[in-house]
Amino acid sequence: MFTPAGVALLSGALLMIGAFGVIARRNLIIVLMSVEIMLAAGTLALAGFARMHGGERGTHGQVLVLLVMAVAAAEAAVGLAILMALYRQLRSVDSDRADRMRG
Amino acid sequence: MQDALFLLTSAVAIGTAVYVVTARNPVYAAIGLMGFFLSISGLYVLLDAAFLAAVQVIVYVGAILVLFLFVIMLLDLRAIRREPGDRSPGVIVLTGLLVALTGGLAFVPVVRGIPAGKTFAPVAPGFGSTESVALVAFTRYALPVELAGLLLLAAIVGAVALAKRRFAGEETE
Repeated sequence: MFTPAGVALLSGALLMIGAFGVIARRNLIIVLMSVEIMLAAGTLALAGFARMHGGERGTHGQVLVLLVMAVAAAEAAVGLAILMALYRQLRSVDSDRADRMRG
Repeated sequence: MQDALFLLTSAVAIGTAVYVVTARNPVYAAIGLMGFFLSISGLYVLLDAAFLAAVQVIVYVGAILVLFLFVIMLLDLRAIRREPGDRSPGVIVLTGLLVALTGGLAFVPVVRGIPAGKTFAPVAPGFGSTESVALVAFTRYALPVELAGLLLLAAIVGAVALAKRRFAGEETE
């Protein structure tokens, strides 16, 4: 079970769960959390394959994971700031209410 | 033994992730997200990525999750929870099926691409330690690391600019 294929499958399952959350939920906070789940799934796959290669190549993979974590943090901060600004206008975090650009 | 630990940690990861995407209450979802991040950290430990496991806890649980909780606390939760629930059951089932289908299709070549019978071969003792990651990060990847710092600076400035309260001189509300 604990093989590169197993880790890849787990990563895929988590990615799908996160994708479901992004699409099916209306609450924007939950949507942002689901995006973080997807990012974590991606970095998990990276770390798994880094471990599979081992040695120098593996460490390069781990550096990439570190950089992706930095990007995820930046994205979470900006996403939440956008959410705050939206909330101030709409008094709601329901994505269906954010329809001012419609029609 | 590692198999059992992997299965257990995977179960926690999947369970908490499902809880996050289905929870009604965003605060409960945030706690579930914390459990998810901790389980990912556990998986990093299993994958001999000790440094990454530590960074995962510090950055994701210690910063990102705290940020989520701050934002949740600044919102009016009673008004939010009075809102109608999410989409109709039909849409939810359809979404679940579509995601499973797309994900499954996308992952078949990934799993097939791993050479048959490949396992985690034993790895040098210092693998995944802070020294080994730092050695590569600050020499070969020095530029991306500096750029990541710049990115974080841009994110800070952008977040402050977006979220700061407007003062008396400006209208909007």
